[in-house]
Amino acid sequence: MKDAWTPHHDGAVGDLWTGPAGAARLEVAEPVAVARALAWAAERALAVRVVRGVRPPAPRTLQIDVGALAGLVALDEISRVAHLRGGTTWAEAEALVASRGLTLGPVPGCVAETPIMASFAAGERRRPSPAFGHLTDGVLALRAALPKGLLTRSAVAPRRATGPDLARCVVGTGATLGLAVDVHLQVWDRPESRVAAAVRFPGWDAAHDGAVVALRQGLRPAWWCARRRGREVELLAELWGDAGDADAVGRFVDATGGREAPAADAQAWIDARADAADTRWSAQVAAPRGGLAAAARARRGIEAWDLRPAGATLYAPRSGDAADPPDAWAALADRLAEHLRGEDV
Amino acid sequence: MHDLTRLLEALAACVGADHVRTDAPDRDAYSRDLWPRSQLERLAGDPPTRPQAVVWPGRPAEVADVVRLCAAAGVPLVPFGAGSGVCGGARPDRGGVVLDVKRLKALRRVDEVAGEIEVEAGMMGELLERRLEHRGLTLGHFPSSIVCSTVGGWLAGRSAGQCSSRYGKIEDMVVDLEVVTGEGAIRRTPRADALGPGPDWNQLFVGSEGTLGVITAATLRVHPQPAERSFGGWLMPDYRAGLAVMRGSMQAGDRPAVLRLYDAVDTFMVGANPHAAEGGGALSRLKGLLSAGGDGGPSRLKQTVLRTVLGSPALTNAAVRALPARCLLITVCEGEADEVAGAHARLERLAAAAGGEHLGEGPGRTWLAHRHDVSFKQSKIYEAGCFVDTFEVATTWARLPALYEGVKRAVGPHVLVMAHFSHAYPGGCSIYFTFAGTGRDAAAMRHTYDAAWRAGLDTAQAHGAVIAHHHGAGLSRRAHMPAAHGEARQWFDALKATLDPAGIFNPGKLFAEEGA
Ligand SMILES: Cc1cc2nc3c(=O)[nH]c(=O)nc-3n(C[C@H](O)[C@H](O)[C@H](O)COP(=O)(O)OP(=O)(O)OC[C@H]3O[C@@H](n4cnc5c(N)ncnc54)[C@H](O)[C@@H]3O)c2cc1C
Repeated sequence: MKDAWTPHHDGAVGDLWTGPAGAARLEVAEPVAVARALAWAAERALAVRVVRGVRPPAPRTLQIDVGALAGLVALDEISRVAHLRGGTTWAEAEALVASRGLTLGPVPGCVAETPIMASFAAGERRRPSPAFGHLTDGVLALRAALPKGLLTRSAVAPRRATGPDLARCVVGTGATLGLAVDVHLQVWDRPESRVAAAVRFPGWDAAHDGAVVALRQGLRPAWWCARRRGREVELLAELWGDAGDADAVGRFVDATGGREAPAADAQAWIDARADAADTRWSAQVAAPRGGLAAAARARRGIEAWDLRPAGATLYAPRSGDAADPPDAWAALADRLAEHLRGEDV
Repeated sequence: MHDLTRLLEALAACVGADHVRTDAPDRDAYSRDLWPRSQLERLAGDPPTRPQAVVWPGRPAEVADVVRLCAAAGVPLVPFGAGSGVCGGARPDRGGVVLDVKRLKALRRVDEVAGEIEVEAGMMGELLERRLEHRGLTLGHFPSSIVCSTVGGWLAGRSAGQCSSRYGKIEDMVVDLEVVTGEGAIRRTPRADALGPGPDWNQLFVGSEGTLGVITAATLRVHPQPAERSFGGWLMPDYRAGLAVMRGSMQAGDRPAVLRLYDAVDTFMVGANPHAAEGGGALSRLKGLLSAGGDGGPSRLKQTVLRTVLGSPALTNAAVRALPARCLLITVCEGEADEVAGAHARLERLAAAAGGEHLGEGPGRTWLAHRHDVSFKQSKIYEAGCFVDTFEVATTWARLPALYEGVKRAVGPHVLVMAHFSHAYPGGCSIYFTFAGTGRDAAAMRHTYDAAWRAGLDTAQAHGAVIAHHHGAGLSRRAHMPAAHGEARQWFDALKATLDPAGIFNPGKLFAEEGA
């Protein structure tokens, strides 16, 4: 794949590679290099894609290879906060904190090899964990590179009230409003035990209701899903906890009110979710409470991962891009990016 | 003047003449919120700027009309909830029109099954909670100001209730928002639980303190009323031991509703230290003076003593250091029985391991019973020629002790200072500093007051902390905002240009205007 690229030197960003149709590729090792790269791309009206390793050129796109911008900057074991560089993949990040007895929570296979920076840019939503939230949720601070070539700063704290949460500008916006060059993330003690639990229900609504009752009783699985199994719907979960807690599965089954099923069902689902080869999933539709059955009918193989009192999000093997945001907000986001680049709007 | 007259006529035509006021008492009342500095300014003969008019739209469409009219006239527009903000956020410092949202007060939808409500921004907090309680629900948001603040004000300022460790801050409760942006459009943000590509607009409007638009309604998550509640009270050997308990509980994944740790001085002030006598009689008298109880307020003699004591803050702070280091820790767990029992049992274990002396349920129950007693004692302290104020900062657990000690040291030369730790999360918590001081006249008081604030926030930033946990920035933290955000200011400016092209929304708040 390297053949597709031609070495080049540029006064502003240093060594880079160029490809056909305005494609460019840059390796960065420092946050400030990401900022410079964004400014360079903005001046040339290039799209930006964050990658690890060499990828095929894409027309009018700057590939920023963040492989050299990876690693753990610091680990605050008292506050359980990991300071990670944006180029670190989730699998690397988990391995780094695991060596110190800590965890980021479950890392699904579909994101394991994605750099943190790219997940933020994409607005990663494929780990809706009742216990740990989404992968991009536990942020105590985020430093970003801006399209004008500068870096932001942020104090590290669990919550704040100093205006809008401006760091959200880099979540879900591609690289149009900036990129997260490093983040402080909440980490947790590694669980002493992980057990799988499977419960069956006569239908989608019963399974959803059961999940909500469990949440209201304070039970928060590391991850779970509801999916059809024959004529029934099964709720599969992984429960993380203390080694001494022998009755975790029993409490979960009782809380949900369903019929206990073989744990092997759940274990197979957990293994598949954690498998690095499992890169297919994408969020499909948000269904309101009571609307799961209808939403699920529209597609085979669909799973409800994000079960909440108000509804659930259904995930399915990817088939094209996720839905666009409502038009009016997309237009505003575009205007925001133009203002940030200093263009006359 | 002519333009203003035309604007007022147009405003009256859209919201009704009864809902546009230009008389002095109204303009005066809406010239400030509860930022204590406004009171000091008034005492110094320098009252805050008054708005030209106050309007009370009754529907979101009327809000949109008001926004369009003000934008066309280039007149500042300041959204106003209940004015309980303590940072000057709702002060119309550039004059213009104050838009009071309190007529937008409908509870539009309650969905018990989904655990959601849709409520208009002008709904007062306590009223909302009472209406939810009738239906067996709770928002779980209980700021001390619940009787005098609105849902819109909470959202605009990233408010925190006392039970935030369980239910989160207001930003954690938002599902979506209805907002009127600068071109007068009524918009509904994408739901937080169904985000597609694009930023989470909810989190950009939340905390915007009226600078990006008017929040007219919100969908918020609600919960069933807790089935069980447990109360705990411990006297910890020192504040570090108390923090270890709070941290242990949150990092174990428990979600107690309340974890509140008073430092030694605050423990003494709340009167919950059975060993308080060790502090000596002089301190008891100080407590009486600061409490300034009694209907008639403090006598002239007491006022003089209070001024003398607060006039020597370094000495007074040194004296209170003689207090026993013991600190009161209050805990409340709520929810379903099993969860409550588990979280409470863990707190008992952690507190015992950290050397806590168990005080039973009393402190927790007493706190709960009085949690909304808004202090009316402040005005008595001002009457005595003194001032009192608070600021809250937040950081990670590892940095809390240095932050706490550092801020006390920095503020101590100016004012008497005490603190409590609350709003705990797995990664850290907030420190709520209370300070009181005086000066030989109003100008000197303002000088001392500013010096205390500056020293506190400078030190917080030097320790890598955030300068506000839930009161917002308004004017009181504005000078520190550039350092807090660095180049992230560019995002704010771009948001402002996108959402408020005419630049009318609450100008000069959060960040000073360019060139100002
Ligand atoms: C005694 C006391 C105790 C307090 N305790 C707490 C506490 O425990 N927790 C806490 O978080 N705060 C507390 N506060 C601070 C204050 O109550 C909060 O900041 C509250 O959120 C302000 O609400 P409000 O409706 O009074 O807003 P206001 O003071 O009217 O306005 C606050 C800011 O929000 C903007 N704003 C208001 N409504 C809207 C709207 N609809 N759309 C857009 N912008 C709007 C205003 O322009 C202003 O910038 C306390 C205050 C007092 C006086």
